[in-house]
Parts: sequence; C-alpha cells; structure tokens
Amino acid sequence: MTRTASPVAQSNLSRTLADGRLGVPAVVFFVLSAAAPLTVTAGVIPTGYAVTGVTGIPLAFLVVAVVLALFSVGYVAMARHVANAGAFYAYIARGLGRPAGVGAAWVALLAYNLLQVGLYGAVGAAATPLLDQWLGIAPPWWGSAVLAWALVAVLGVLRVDVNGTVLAVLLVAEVGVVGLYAAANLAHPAGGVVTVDTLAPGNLLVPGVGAILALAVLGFVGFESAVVFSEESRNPRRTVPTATYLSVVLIAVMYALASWAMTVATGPDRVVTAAAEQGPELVFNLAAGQLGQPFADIGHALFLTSLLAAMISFHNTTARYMFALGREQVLPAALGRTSRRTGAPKVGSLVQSAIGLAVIVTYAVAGWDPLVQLFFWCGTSGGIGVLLLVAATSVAVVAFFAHCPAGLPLSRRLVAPALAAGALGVVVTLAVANIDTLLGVSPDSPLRWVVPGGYLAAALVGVGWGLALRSARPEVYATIGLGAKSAVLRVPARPASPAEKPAVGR
Amino acid sequence: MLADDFFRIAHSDSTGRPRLHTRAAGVGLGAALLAELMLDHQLTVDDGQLVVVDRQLPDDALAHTVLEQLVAEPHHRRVRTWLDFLSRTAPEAVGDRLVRAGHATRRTSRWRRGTFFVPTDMSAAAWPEARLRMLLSGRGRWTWPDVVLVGLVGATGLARQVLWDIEPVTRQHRAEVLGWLAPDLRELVAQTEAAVGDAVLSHRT
Repeated sequence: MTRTASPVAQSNLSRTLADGRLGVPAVVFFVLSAAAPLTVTAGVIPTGYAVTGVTGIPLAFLVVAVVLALFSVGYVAMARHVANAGAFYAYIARGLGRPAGVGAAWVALLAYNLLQVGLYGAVGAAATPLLDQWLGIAPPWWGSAVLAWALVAVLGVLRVDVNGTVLAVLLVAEVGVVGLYAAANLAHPAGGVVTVDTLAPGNLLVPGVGAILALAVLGFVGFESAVVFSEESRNPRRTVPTATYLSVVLIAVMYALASWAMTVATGPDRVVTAAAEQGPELVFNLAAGQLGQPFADIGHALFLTSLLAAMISFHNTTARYMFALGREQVLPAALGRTSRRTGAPKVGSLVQSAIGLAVIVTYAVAGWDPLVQLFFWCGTSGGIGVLLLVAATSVAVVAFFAHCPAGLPLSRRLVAPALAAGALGVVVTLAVANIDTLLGVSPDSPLRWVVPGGYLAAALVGVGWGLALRSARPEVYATIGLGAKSAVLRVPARPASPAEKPAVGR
Repeated sequence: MLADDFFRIAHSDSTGRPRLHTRAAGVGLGAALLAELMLDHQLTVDDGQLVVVDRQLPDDALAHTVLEQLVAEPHHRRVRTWLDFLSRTAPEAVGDRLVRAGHATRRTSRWRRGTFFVPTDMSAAAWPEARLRMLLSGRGRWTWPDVVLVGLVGATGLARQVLWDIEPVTRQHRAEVLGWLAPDLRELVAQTEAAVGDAVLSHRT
C-alpha cells in the first residue's frame, strides 16, 4: 500500500491541511513574479551590454544557471533544517556560526536595499518618456520615481495576496512579450543570417567576464525564495526542490534567449554601440521595427509595470528580512510588528519606504543619472551582495552537513555543495576583480573599492554585533537565525516558585 | 470560555467585524481551544508535541469535538500542525458556540464575502477587553484563563490594538504574568507567536 492511500493521509486533518497547499506551478509562479522578466530583459541586459561592453551575456546566464542549480542541491536539502528558510543569513548562522549569520544578515539588508532602491531610477527613466507620449507631460525622472515610491509604500502595508494576484497577471504578460520579442529578433537577423557568435565559449575568456557573471546573478535573484513554502507545499520533499530547479532553468532559458536574440537582431558587433545609444529603448525600438509600434507600446507599458512588480517584490523581501531580524531581536523588536488588519510586516515596510525616499531625494538633489548611476550601479551592486550571500551559504551548507549528515547521500550533502562552493568562489573572485568593468568606471576609480568595501564593512559590523550579543544578551544570541520561531526558544525557564505566585482563582 | 473571550476581543463588540487579520485570528482561536483543554488537564504540550492525558470527553460540544479530533489522529502530534488545522476551523466553530449560547447572531455579508457574528449584548462582548485592562492596571483577581488570554492577545499582535494606550507600560507586567503559567501553556503561547510570525514570512497573511 502506498503512503498516500493509507488512512494517515485520508484523515480529516490531513485533508483539511491539504486544501490550499501549493504545488510546483504555484511556487514557480511566485519565484518568477519576483524575477520580473521584462525588467531584466529591457533594463538590465541592454544596460549591461552598454556599460560592460562584453557580449558574452547570454552565455553568462547559462553558466550561472549551472552553478546555481548545483548550489540548490545542498540548499534545498539544508532548508528542511533551517527555521527561517527563506533567508540566506539563517543558513550561514546555522552552518558557520551565529556571528557570521548576523554579518550575513547585514550584508543581505544592504544588498536587497540596493536592489530595491535602484529600481526607482529605472522607473523614473522609463516613465518619463511614456508620460510624455501619453499625456504630453514630461516630469523629471524623480517625479515619476516618487509616484512609484508612493504606490509601493502603500502596497507594502496592504494585504500581500492582493499584490500576489497583480504580480501573477503581469508575469504572464511579461513572459509573453519577452518571448514574442525574442522570436521577432530571430526572424529579423542583422545581415539576414542568424548568428550564434555570442554563444561561443570564447566570449567568456575575455577580460571583464566577472562583470557579466555578476550581472547574470542579478537575473536569478528570487530563486532562493521557493524554500519559504516548505510548510505550505503539497510535498515538501519534492515540491520545493522541483520548483527551485525549474525556476533556475526557466530563468536561464528566458534570459539567455532574450539576450542572444538581441545580438542577432543588431548583429553581434553592433550590440554594444546600439545599447549604449538607445539604452532600454533598444528592445522596444527593435520591436517597433519588426512588429510595429503597437507591440512596442505594449512592451513599454509592461516594462513599467514590471519595474513596479520588481519593486514591490524586493520591498516585501527586505521588509520580511527586517521583520525576521526584529522577531529575533537582533534588530529593534519593533521591526517584528505586523499590521494588525493585514498582517503585513508594517514597521519593516515603513523603514524600507523611508530609505527609498531618502535615496530618490539624494539622487535628485545631486543631479545624478537615474539609469546608470542609480538603477545599474545599485542593481549590480545588490547583485554582487546576493552573489556573496549565495557563496557564503554554499560554504555553510558544506559545514552544516559535515556536522549533521542527516542521512543524505554523499553526492547531495558534500559533492554537489562543495563543487558549488568552489565554482561560486571563482565567480566571486572574478566579479570583484572586474567590478570596474561592471560599473563602467576606470580601473583606478575609487568606486571599485566602495562596493566590496561596503559589504565587508557591513559583514564585520554584523559579526561584531553578533559577538556583542553573545556576551550582553545571550537569550537573543541563542535565537539568531530562527526568525519567527525564536519565540519558542525564548520561553524562559520557570521563574516563579508556586509560593511567589499571587492567589489565583480557578 | 477562553476561546469565546479571545473571539470577542478579536472582533468589534458592535458589528462583529474582525479587528485582526484572518490568519492571526485563526491561530489565536485555535490556540485558545487547545488551552481550554490544557487548563482542564486533558491535554499538555511537551517539546512542541501535544499529549492527550485525559480522554474523557468534556461537556462542551466544541471542546468535545476538538478532543475527539486529537484522539482520532494520534499520528499528528506537532502543536504547529494542530494550530494550522484549527486556525481554519476555529473562527467558525467558536462563532457558532457564541450563537448557541445566545451571545451572538450569525450574519452573512453579501458584498464582503464571509460571515459575521454580531454580538447580541455589546457590554458582554466588550467585557473581556475591559477585564484585561483592569487586571493589567492592578485591579481584580487573575484567573488562569485570563493569564493565557493575555498571552494570546500579545502573541497574535492584538495587544497593540486592545491595550494601545497602556501597551508599553504593561509589557513588563504581562511578561511577569506569563511567567506564572505552567511550562506547557507558556510553550503554547510561544508556538502561537511563532505560527503568526511564520505566516508573515511565508506570505500567508
């Protein structure tokens, strides 16, 4: 008799709990909606071609996908042993010690904040020409950015499932547009020949390869979130791993195809110049020429909603990070508060909104460029932060299973995680070495040290904070990485003896 | 009854509309139902697992049903599993118990999907909240159900609504009061807080 046919699974409780459990499609849907395909296709990829000048981007997506798939083997296996499974710092706290976990948490806060605030630059730059075309008004970029900011701030404290429905509808439309544009690009190759030049492995053996690898990681951010649904999935042992691998594969295929098709349409030798001249408009200009203006307009509108979706998604991720850290009391406990009516992590959300507004105002006052200096710099810097977290997590997975084999075969608990850790180590080294290419600054620019230095500082301060908690507040130290479950560990040993109790009537 | 009191605090005393989001209210009510059995020494919590210690079925129909379910499913023992299960059924079940006792009437809203349980007597519905305020300002005698109630109100995030003006000053006092509880009830309160928090982290609020 199989397990599913046994009376156990047929019980009233199991049946009730099975209602509303998530299957693979639902989890993949969630992961991809955070990925916001058109933001990457129209925003990240052309800017990446323009700023780095390296044409191996399609290949970089495929290489990073292989590395992340390898990483996911140990990651999803360890997720079952991690209380706050959606957050990298929880794995690092478990595998490499709690102080390292706090260091990782601070790196994560910085990285996700960068990812989120960077999008305000893109939305500002993308919305202004559209408003001009539709309404005949041309506000400065920060005007549109503040509008988007207000929308995200409000949605952040509203019910999360409302956001989920909106994100799902947008996702389907975006994937459709990305696919359609890629097909059109391939049907209209430059010079009449579909060339696979940019897919030749030689494209990765160039100076600046670290830059495009880091850029590709940015496209995958969100793949880590499938594991938060362990408890909500139909079959935690199958649903979550399958959804994670499938998400990585789908993201890789979609972006590799889109970025390759772009080079086919412009010609591999022309893509960098075309991207530099046209920016995000490259994608829509190509579509307008191949499919007609209406299709470009649809894409334009979806680009805007895609940016909004990505903003909401990163906003919620960051707010949840703060919420979990507030619940652990690693950050002020107030961050662990939720909105009473909607259950959204309200205080974390408001803090996140405040940071966003401060960044928009700073860039507006300083007159910095929204697209390259805000969107691309912050986005890629955030991507590097996530890459650092993934790399540290891969080491934590190896360390964790060394202490606690959990009955897993050697291939899953050691071989795959160790290979992933090695590969990620190489990617991190290349990315940090090529950071000037990634940001498009000269090799002697101080900026190349600001990004790794910033993460190093955040990590060190975090580790110091963790060590301080160990001596000053051991009850908080003990719960690092447990997220909301820290409440259970904090149950104090019985303080009052019965004699000290007040008279209590029954 | 403890769950009735939590239900009344979690809903408006005049309209019966919820004052707390569905998931937290459900988990809180589920915990209150378990706590009723624990206070009657029929059930205990040990290291995250529920243990039925007395199988004699209680007189109250709802407590009867809950204990029957617990006995019928011995392979499911995790407190979190039961909080998850009861969070779905408890709001309706406790509302119905209030209706049976004549404390509320059932009203189905046409334009806002869902059922409301409108209190028949506003002052009776407002009493649990008033009582908690009194106890926390040092008046009146604590009973064990009220100690658990104050714990669940804090664990579900309802305290900031109910005790908004005295919330910060009573925090210490509430922690002290919770310290009187037996370890199993304290663990139930902590598991409730964890379940509500995890709902936020897994986007289930």
